[in-house]
Amino acid sequence: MIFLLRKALISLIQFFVISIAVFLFFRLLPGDIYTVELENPQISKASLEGIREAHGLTQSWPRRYVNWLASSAKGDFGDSLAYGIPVRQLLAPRIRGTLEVAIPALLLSWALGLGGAISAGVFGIAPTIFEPGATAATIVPDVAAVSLILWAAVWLGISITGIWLPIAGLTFGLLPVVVFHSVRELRHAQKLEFVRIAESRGISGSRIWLQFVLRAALNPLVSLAGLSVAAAISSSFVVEVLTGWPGIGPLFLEAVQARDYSIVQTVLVMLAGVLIVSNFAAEIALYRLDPRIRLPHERFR
Amino acid sequence: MNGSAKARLSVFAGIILVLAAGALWAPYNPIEQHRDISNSPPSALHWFGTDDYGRDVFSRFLAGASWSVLSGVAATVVGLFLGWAAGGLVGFKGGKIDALFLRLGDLTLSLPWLYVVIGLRAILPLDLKPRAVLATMLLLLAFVSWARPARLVRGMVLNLSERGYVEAARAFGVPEWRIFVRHIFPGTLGVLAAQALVLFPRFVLAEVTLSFFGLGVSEPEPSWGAFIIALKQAYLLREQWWRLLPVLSMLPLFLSCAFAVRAVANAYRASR
Amino acid sequence: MCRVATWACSVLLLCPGGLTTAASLDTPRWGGVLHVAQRAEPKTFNPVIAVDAPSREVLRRLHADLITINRFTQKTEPGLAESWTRSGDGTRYTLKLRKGVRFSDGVPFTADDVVFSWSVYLDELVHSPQRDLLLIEDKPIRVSKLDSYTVEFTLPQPYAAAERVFDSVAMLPRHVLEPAWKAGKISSAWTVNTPASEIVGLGPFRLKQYRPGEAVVLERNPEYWQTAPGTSRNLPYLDGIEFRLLPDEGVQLARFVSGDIDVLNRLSMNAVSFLQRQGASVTDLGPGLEYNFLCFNLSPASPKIKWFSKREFRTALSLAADRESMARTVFLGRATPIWGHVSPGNRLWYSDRIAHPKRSVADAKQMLKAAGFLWNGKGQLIDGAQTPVEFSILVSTSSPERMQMATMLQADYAQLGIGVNIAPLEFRSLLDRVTNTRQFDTVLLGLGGGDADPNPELNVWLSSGGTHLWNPNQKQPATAWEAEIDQLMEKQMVTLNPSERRKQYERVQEIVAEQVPMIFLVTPNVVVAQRGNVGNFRPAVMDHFTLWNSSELYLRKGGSGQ
Repeated sequence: MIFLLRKALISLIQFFVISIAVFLFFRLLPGDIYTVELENPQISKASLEGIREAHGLTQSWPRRYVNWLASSAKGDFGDSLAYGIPVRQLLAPRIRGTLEVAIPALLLSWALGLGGAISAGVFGIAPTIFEPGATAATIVPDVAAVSLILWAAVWLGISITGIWLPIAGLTFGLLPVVVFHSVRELRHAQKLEFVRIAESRGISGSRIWLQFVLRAALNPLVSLAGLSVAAAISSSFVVEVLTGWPGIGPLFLEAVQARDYSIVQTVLVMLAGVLIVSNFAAEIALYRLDPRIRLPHERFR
Repeated sequence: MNGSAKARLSVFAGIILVLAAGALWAPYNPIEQHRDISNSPPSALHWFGTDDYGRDVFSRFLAGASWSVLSGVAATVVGLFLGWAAGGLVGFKGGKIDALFLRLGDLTLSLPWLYVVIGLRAILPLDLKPRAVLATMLLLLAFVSWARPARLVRGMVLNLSERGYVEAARAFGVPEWRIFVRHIFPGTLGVLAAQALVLFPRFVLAEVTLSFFGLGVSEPEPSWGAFIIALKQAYLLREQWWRLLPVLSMLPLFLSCAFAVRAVANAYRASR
Repeated sequence: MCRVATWACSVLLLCPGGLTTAASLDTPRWGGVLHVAQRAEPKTFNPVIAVDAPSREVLRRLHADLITINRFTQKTEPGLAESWTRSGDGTRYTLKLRKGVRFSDGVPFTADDVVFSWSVYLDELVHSPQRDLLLIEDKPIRVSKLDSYTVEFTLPQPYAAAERVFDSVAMLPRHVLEPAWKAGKISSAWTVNTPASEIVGLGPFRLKQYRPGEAVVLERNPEYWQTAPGTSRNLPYLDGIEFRLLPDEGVQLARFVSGDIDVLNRLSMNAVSFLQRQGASVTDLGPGLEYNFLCFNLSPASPKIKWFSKREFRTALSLAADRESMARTVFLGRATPIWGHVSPGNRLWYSDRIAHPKRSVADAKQMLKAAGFLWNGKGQLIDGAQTPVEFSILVSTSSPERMQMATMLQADYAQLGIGVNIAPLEFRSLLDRVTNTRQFDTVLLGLGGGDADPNPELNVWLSSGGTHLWNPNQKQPATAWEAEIDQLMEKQMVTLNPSERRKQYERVQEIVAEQVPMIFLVTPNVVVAQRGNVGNFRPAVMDHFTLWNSSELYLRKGGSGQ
């Protein structure tokens, strides 16, 4: 219990550090939301300064950070400069859109990747097919993969307005990594002593895989699954843009380009939150699966 | 190490060498423009056709390969070494440093590095040569990519420390550093190899992401990232199928990399 | 006193021979929803503060202005004002409003709404981006109500483009927005979260629904005043317009090909040739208003000023630029080389008196030699102090076309022995360097697209302007030729005689072309596509390219799937 409490506290501190870093990092980018209007000759520089001041962009950084932090603590993430409405209202419908894509894709890629790796092992299909396939898939980044899937669908006459398209694109992007690690960990576990002993006792192949190998490989795979949640969400952003899906992606990309600070900050901090929470969840899962972790200091004594 | 593993390794090494020296094999000057023959399909003279400016795509593929392969190898080595050192140390030592390490790892993974990279490009001097810019970017990426391999190495080390032979060695009073070198280190090589397999293509392809933001190797230097990012216009492929050629030609490198790494991992396991 | 054409006449002007297809002679069909692809989200439904193109494109359909610029003829024509007169000295405009016009909620539109709208746009606390357009030499254009249907605008001084000022200044419903303005909250009214029924306008359409990240749905405004030719029925023909929000061009094309979208705007040239092969109805409108150029940094602190300040150097670089190949390669032939800043797409102001010197590397070298440059043993161009000539071109990563142009210039200048470094930067970072820190050698940019008139570009050509890109915000013009441009620009602003004004601006074009502070490169064609089911389709080179006559557009049978 103390172990978990300590973990939770650490996660909180971590979250705080990330919020500062996010705030500062994004300000490394030159220009602000109104810079682009300088290209528009119809607006004078003086009017732009007026607009900037009205939106608090002329204040100093620390001051803006404190303001932002104070309001964020109250659950108010500020107003978007571009939209002039609270970020919370902008993000709420989009979070749903992103989760609708990211969660099925995450489950699907794990089911396909791990399931594929296990059945390849059980049925003795040479990993020679499986791994190179995944290698080939990594070369094509999600940006290109989505486009390829999109046009394949167009030419096959399949409707491209459905949610299947972003899910398929994202799954394709996540799958190779899952396959790599599954194959690696399973093969490693297969060589462990107790698995070999079980084998020598003549326990059937599929039972060995499910009962021994998978269990032995579970520890690193659970950590990896924790890490893959945040990765899935941020990859989902790109896929959403390329498929025109109404998630956070298009909003976020535009906000980055437009320097709409409050949107970018909120999204990044949320992402960090997801990462920390999913890691935390993975730790709890490990804690239950692997008693060694409960006594971190006494391992080697 | 058996014969087939050696063969796989030498194939991989061969491909790396051929590609790293790609610029030397290029039949034409990769940046010379012949605007009258732009976008022509493959022919005996131009195996992969020509690009928008009438430059020979095959030559650009080879010249880009040198750069991609070398920078990929360099970044992988840097990233892996950092990750391995950090992960190995804390996994073995454990305790306070372990907790700190985990937090630091989470932090590195959750920070939006891409904006740092974009911001950095905006700050760098403009007259920096294209390759110097990319090298800076890749180095930065390598530095921040230690966390993932480190985490896996740490897990592996924890796992290995529990093994019967390690416990036995401890019981016999073998010094910790010897246990580490003799028993733990070889065990992490498998994980490292797997990570290299994941990281090397990633770093070669990191340039694709950078290119997506226009921060890859800038014109007129050829680069692999530019070929891959061109697939984004997949609708052109039906008529201009040859746009796929450079990407398909990258496959041997990545596949032989996969095979070679597995051969190495197997060889290590067999030797124990 | 001059009388201006009324609506009935200008409808005829709209149908020039070339673009009228046999199909547009069909009897228009009523009903149907038009699906249009749009790259980005609208940021607001408030016409007073909208600065971004996506919002403005939606808002133009929801609101109306007093005098409007016909996107096709590029001339002004009556909007909510059915006629107007100008006083002899050119400082007073009296506008007669149409009677019987109602807002989309049924409330009549009167002179009070005009006065109200004007006060809102001019209110300094509102920070409306339109405000600068309503100022002449920092003094506002004033309005007063003569009776319910007559308003008088008073200009601080005669102003040549006065009629054009009214275009895109949406008339606001006083009965809806006055409380918000009085409370100082007009900027936060009509956001994207405002219920559709509260947004009231005078345009052919009204807002039905906004689905974030997905679509903006408009439905016909039953109160719209204009009637269909030959009938007493109110326009628009369409039941609605749906803007589908698709950030990526690839998915726009895919949706178009699979029948989900009827109209595409602003196509890249690769997309155009693809669509043509697909058999889509692609319209190439010829040169647009956008001009692309390489601008030198001529600020006194510019690191390369000792080379750039030589006119011969700049001219030589202009001579060596291969504009023809640029048009052919980058734009697949759908672009026009230019040597001055007014594109041939600008019907009213293009001048054929600007010289078009043929590309010649030899002449360029000759000119460099005359300016004191030499070549060293390695073939590099060197200046008098033996320093090799090198500079960087700043270019935006979000414009693949400009990246390509920069690549071609790099190869062109290599022929002169000049080393060119291309520095791609993300767009805001680039603008920050150009307009703010001024740390750059040259920049490849494009301008234009708003209005065809010279006045909105005042900030570009006046040496005191913030967008005077080669050397902005000067207290005193740095050179004699800039001083001459300043004079001419100020003079043309108040010259009411069109042909005289044309001569003055032609001279500005000549000076800029002679002095080459910018090397003008190409003007891309505006190309749009439709699925062949849209009637009265009369795209224009000014934005919004395809929807400017949205009230007249109609869908033939077999419209889009949904």
